[in-house]
Amino acid sequence: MNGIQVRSGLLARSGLRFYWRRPWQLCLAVSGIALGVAVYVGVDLANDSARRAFQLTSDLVTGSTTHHLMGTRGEIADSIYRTLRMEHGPVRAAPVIEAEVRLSRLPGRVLTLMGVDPLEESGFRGFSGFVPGRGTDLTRLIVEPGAVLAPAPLLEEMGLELGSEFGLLIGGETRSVRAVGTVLVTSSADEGPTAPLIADIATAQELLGRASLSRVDLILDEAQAERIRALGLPNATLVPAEGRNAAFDELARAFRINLTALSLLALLVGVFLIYATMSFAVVQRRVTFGVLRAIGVSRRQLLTGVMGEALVLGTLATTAGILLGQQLAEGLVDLILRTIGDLYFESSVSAVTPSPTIYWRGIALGLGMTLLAAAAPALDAARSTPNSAMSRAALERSTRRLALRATWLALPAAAVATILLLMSSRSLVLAFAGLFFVIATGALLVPVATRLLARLAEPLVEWGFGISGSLAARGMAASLSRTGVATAALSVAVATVVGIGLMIGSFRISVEEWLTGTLTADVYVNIDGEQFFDDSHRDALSAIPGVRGSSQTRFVRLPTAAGEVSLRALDPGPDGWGVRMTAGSTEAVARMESAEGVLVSEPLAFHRQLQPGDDLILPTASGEQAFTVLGAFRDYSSNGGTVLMPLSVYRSHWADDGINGIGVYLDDETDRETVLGEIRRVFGAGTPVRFRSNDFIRERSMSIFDRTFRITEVLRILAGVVAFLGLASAVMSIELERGRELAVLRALGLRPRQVRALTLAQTGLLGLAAGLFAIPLGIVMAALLIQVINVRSFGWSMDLEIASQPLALGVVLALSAAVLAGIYPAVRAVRTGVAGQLREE
Amino acid sequence: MSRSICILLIALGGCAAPADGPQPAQQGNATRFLTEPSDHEYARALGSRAFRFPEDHAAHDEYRNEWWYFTGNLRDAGGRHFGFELTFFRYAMSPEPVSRESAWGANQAWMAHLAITDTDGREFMAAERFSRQALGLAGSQAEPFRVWLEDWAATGDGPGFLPLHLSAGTDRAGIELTLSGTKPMVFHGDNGLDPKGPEPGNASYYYSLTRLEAAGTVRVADEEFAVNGTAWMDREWGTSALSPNLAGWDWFALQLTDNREVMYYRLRTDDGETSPFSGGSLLLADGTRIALSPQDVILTPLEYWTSDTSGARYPIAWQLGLPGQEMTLQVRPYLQEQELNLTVRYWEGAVSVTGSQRETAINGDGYVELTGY
Amino acid sequence: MQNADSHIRLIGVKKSYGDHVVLEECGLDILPGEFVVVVGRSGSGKSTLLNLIGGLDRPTAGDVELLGQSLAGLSEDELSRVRCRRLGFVFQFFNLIPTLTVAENVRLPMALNGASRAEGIQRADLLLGELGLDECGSRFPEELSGGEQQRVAIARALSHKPDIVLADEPTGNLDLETAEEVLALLEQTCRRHRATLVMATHSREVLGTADRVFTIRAARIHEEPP
Repeated sequence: MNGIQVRSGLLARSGLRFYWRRPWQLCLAVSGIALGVAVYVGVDLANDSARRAFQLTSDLVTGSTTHHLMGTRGEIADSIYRTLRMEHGPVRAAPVIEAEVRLSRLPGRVLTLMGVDPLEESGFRGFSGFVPGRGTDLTRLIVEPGAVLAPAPLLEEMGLELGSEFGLLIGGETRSVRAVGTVLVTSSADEGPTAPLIADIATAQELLGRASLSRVDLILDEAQAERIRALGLPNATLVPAEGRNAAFDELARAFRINLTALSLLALLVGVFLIYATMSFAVVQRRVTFGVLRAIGVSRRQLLTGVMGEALVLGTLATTAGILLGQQLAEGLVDLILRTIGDLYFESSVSAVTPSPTIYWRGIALGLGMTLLAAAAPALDAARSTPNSAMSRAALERSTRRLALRATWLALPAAAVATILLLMSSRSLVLAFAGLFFVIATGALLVPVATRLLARLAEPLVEWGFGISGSLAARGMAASLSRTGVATAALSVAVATVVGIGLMIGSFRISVEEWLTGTLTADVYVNIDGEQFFDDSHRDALSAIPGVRGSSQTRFVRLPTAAGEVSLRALDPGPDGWGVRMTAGSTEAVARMESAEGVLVSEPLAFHRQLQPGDDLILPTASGEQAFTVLGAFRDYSSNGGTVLMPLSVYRSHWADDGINGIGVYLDDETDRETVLGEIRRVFGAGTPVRFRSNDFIRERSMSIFDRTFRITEVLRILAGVVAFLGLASAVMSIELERGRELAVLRALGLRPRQVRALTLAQTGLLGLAAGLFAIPLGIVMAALLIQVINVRSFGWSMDLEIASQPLALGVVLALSAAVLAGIYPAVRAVRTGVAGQLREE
Repeated sequence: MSRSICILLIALGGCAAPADGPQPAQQGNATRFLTEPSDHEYARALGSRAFRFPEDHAAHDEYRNEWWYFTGNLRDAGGRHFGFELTFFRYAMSPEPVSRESAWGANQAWMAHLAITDTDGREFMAAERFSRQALGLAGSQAEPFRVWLEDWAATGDGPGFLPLHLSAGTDRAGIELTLSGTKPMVFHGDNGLDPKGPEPGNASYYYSLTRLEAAGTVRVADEEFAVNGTAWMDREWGTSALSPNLAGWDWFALQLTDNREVMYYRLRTDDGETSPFSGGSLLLADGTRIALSPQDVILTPLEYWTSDTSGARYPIAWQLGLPGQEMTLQVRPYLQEQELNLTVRYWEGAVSVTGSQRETAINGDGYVELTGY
Repeated sequence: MQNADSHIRLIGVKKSYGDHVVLEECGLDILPGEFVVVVGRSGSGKSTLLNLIGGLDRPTAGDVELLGQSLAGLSEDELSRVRCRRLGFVFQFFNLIPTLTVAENVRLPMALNGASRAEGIQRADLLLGELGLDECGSRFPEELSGGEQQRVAIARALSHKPDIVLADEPTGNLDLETAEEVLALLEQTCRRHRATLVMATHSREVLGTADRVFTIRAARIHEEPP
């Protein structure tokens, strides 16, 4: 017993001395693991905060609402709300009034006025959560006529303070309101979604001159929902909350998917980084282990020793990594919140406390991977005979066998990936799992590919670098035990960076093309709220010289049992419907024109599983009616779902002649400014009309798109930088370990320049290999993100565009990481005395 | 001092630890509206009052706070024990009524709490509701008497206040009870004017029905039980505030089998001392009231319980001694877990009483309320 | 003792590491083709002496001349060139490059000297043949026994026709029998290729065949009488 303890103590000391003698190795091992933990914890913390920020922001609009009770005519009577609460309780219900209003001080600005009952809001939007410390007084909001909560930047923009009165333009009249508090900070974007003005429900009714609600928000379980549906409340439809706030949800969701993908990236980079670092630290000491085994240390003792050491290292590094990750997250959160603020609302969630599970996951990752990475080579060393354990050759042989085995493992991994992806027709989780297995397949193939590449590259580099090049190529192929995992790690990291880059690029191009195809008119004229254009406007427009045609649109939201859908009824202009079909025959548009049915947007077709020929039930003026789906068209404007039909069909079914939008087509030669002036004159000064040019909408859409993905870009770059640093450290430690080999070469007369070239060629080759492998892997990832993840998430498709820039960036990233990592070992190899290095063993 | 004002004052953040649930922003927010401190604009309980019934049973909107507080211990034919608490709170958001075009216009806000203790089933259920006094969603009236928040209501069965029907429920549990009177109304303090602090006007009007016979049904998890028992009602209104140095209080409403009742509240200061404004009543079988001052009562905690939900540690069993009466009572909860973890968090539960007075054994039931833990 | 044709000349060489003096006042003159053995106990400074001669280390004082050229003023690059052209090394731990085949290891110094591939292959074959390793050319060093590895090292040391071969405890890692065999081969091969051989060893077995024997004692070098 005592003996074992003594020996274990000596074992531990041997491990300690190993690092004591090689402080750089300790540094690199700790920092490699720490970086792996840090990037994962940092990105995940930031994402978690962002997710919560989103949740809070989204709570503001929909909150925990599960259902909406919506009026078939856009109104719900107060009495229905009362009946619901008094006679069909207990039920959690909150009344809501929503209307678009304009500010008399900023007439161009459209705002949502949201009337709520603050007493019923608890658990719904949680908007009271935004109140503390912002001078809001809910009592005054309820009791004082005309009291509102206004977005702080809006007050600032209008030069007003809390307590100030300002005018709202409602239905052509000015109504005065007083800001008794601020509720949210809003984007200053003039067209983007902005935070609403919040008023008590009574105030909202008085301002809008109505005695009804827009809807009732409910928190229901399925049984309750069924019960309420069964009540058959007059003129009211119970609609699931999902998809109602389509515009918000879709962006929020895009954002969340993005963040999830990035967390996955960070996790992958972290896993590989730690594995590369730790397995190297153990692999390197095989000879020592062999000696220890030879002098009678049992397998178990050896394993215990190595694992104990890994535990100490892992604990140290994980602690450092979590602290580092926190720092990282702080910077990131700020950035993410700024992006959200740009796009949606800025919320008061900068101090979001992340869920502790992230830390636990970080610890599990740091310690788990460290132990796992140490266990594999330690087990191997413990299992082999003492003699062969001492032999580096035996190790490389077994690694080569392992690489081969990994290659065979790639087959089942690829099979699993295929099965998961095929099974994932609607499941995002399965799709992500499939993606993970695809990456695993790629990683498993890397070692064999590395050998192959080294063999292929040898004549080339020998020609280029002479004997150094040849040595470098040989070195890479022969020391797979050290380079294999590092190359795989670098490849995966770079592939992810490349894949996401390609995905964003492809998405952008598709959106651009879609905008070009859809925005056929030169100028779009819209009218807000409950007011409409009529045919006279169109006739007046057509009479203007230089106008070659116009289109008319009626845009309505229809409550259906499966959620709200947007209906676009269009009387197309001279350039046609501007739709790109993704399903259905080529005659679909013509058949729609002859009133045979409707077209649905791609997301709607996906979410409701609509095939051409299926029926879609819509509530018309004469009750529910089935419309034949003729096909699906590409639409990125909403993932909630859009139905397209001819205006004439809409008019006949809904008995509604209103028009909310007119598209004006101009002759190419006409002077735009003159014509625009004429157009404005048609509508007069008093009408609340918005004019937007084709270019404006396009630019605006693209800038929203870019802002949505800016954070993705930043996180992608960040992950790249950390992968860069971490892998540089892994590569560096591999090179530093070669010190003795380089010393021999120097004794044989290799010149300093040649030594440097050899080192750099070796790391450069590794980087090049990783970069090259990352290209196909990155393309596959991009394809999966586009064809699988995006379709599962949003229901929309896009074309994969393989741009050269992200690919080149990937190769450059990998190559420069590896080459940079070679600089220090190269310099060091020349500086240190050959004699000393030769003696070392 | 009665407990109810303190319930409101917890909401003011005055005497309780902040609600520390998982979502602090949401917990407490609905009562944030209760935080307007402009006392002087409201009517105040300044002098003794000539109570007029049935009018005084209904709301007094010019005072800021008001409540109807029902608690009781019930048993079915087999002796299975249940406890209940049903409370209606009214809070004025402005001193004057407001005139609004919208039917939603209101200056009165209502909160109601329902708690049911199923001792044998070891279940405790608590729920709360809020509403404004508009669209008939909540309110009160004198004749016929009714106070309600949605379908939770206390309704006079006949032209008078009693018999009174209590009806309230959730998906999980509910009560349908009829209360009838057996003992006269008790006016606490100085003929119903109960001071809350040294300042004039820092007082409330406070009367109780300390012994009501209750009969009806209790519903627990879709099972209905026909029950009988004894209930207690507190009525109070005023515009008072709790002194800032108070941490909370321990309130006892004990109904002894010999037809006597003990009501005592101990106000605890921040440093754990008993405030001189603590007090209570010992009510004899004939309705005679003997006032209790802090000097008359010795309170000793016997047992503590820590809530899994909130982490708060409550003294849930007590010895209550009245040396002047040579009376010692042990008060023990029917169920430890009777914490209402609502927007306002407190422990209020059914208790059993044992003890003795000059060698004569005493038994009884009651309710205890613990706040500020 | 001064000889203009010296292959190796040490003049007043001193080497110390901090306060620890390893070698002091060392003077040495070794003629072309001589087989010189340096003996001494472990840690007496034999390896240091060889490292100084090989330019792998620089003396604290004094100078080393190889083939009439002083090493004192040479840059690291020039030292490399001297090693590359003039010197061959045989180490105690063989120090073959594990990623190169036996033949490639042997060719390596020639490649460093810019010899053509064909030339390299031819000479490697020749040397390996001389050392009895005809069959081993395409194998990797780790597949050979210790004695075989050291023979490869000898071939490598001589492949580029160096003037001087420095052998530091070449038999330190071998069993007695193999050691004798390797020593004999080393000596014969060097003599055949007319290379000056300086060997450091702690065993006295080889003294019989050496031309001259030096002992290091108390940091000073003494020539033993023949």
